Amino acid sequence: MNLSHRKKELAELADEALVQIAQSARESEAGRVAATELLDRFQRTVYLWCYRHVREHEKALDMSQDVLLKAWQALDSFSGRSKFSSWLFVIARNRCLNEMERVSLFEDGDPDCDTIEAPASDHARRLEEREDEERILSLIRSKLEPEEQRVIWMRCFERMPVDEITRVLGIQSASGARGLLQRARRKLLNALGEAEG
Amino acid sequence: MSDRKISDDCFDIERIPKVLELPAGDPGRRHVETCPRCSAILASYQSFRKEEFVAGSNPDDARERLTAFVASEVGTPQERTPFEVGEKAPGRVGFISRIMGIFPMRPALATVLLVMVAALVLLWRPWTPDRIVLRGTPRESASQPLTLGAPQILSEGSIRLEWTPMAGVDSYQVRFYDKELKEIARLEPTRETALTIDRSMLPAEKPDRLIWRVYALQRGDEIGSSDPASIDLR
Repeated sequence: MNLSHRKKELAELADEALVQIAQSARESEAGRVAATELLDRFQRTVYLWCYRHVREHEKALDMSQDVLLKAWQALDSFSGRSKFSSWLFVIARNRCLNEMERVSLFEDGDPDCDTIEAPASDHARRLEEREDEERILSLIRSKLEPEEQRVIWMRCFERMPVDEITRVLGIQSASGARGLLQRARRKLLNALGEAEG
Repeated sequence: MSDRKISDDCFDIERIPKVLELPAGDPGRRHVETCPRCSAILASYQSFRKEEFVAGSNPDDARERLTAFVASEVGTPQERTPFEVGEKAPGRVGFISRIMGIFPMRPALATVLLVMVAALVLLWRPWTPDRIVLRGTPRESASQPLTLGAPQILSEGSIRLEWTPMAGVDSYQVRFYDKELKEIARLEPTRETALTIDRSMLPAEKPDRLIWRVYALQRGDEIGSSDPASIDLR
């Protein structure tokens, strides 16, 4: 069977079947062809995902290469308990989180989002700097509406761009996720102030 | 903090998409849908899978460069073929500009050459197949799906194979492939949509894993096929 015929056959296999071939015959030509087909299948996904986060073509390409290389190097560790796409998503997500700057719960690096009139108190900053996670999580859980909790999580922990959050959550209002974020942050600051009496 | 779980019910990130396969009322699924952390990660994963074009991105350039990158890292052998199956030959515009590049100072010579090339292209095109049909590949008309059921290893060691029926088919043929996708056996065509085969019918080497596929036949011609699927024989 020639290579192009084999590639055509592989193109019809499910992701997990390709992983099995790549894992069981990693050093053989068949294993490498299967791994290539698998990674090629996801390169656009990975690239667009990275691009959405950094909005810079060359940077997104570098990050995509890191993700695909890591996936190839770690392919043997994929246990099959999850989908291959979600395993790859974890790698891509970690890479993006490493690249993105930390987003504060109370103030945003995105200038469009930093229009809260009351600036974050010193206490709020100290709390966050100390990474008093339990306290912060408890405030988020108890004081915010589910949609506000979600938007805070996406922005501050998943570090998703604001316009991406608007798109993913299907927010129709003019201010999009920005308005929701501002409201959530204001509530968090107020809750913190109340807690301090 | 990004991998922080909110409660003990929170799932590992890798497993969150799988939870959606649970029935609607399942507590695990309910958790993922309502927990800010898990639902945010799920939304993020769904956005990852959507592959929506983003203004300013350049997926075509990315594809070219990432394909080359993957091939070099994984070490995929490259086959020297003129064109990939189903792919068009390079456009004539690119060819012309390359020719013009060779003769930048000799427009007359370039024009003569172009006329000759155009004549050759006109003569050559009628014999160029639109699409190469590989031996063993079912014809395009086979658009109807033929779906394989999950193979069952029966208690006595035999294997039960099942597939969905397909209209207009007078018989089905099961073929087996090794992990390198070389065909290693094919069974006699059957009118049934299920078969129980004894392991003795399989190749003598007894591999750990077999790939199988069903071909739909009409008067001996292949008119469709299933996707390949694998059987774990261990």
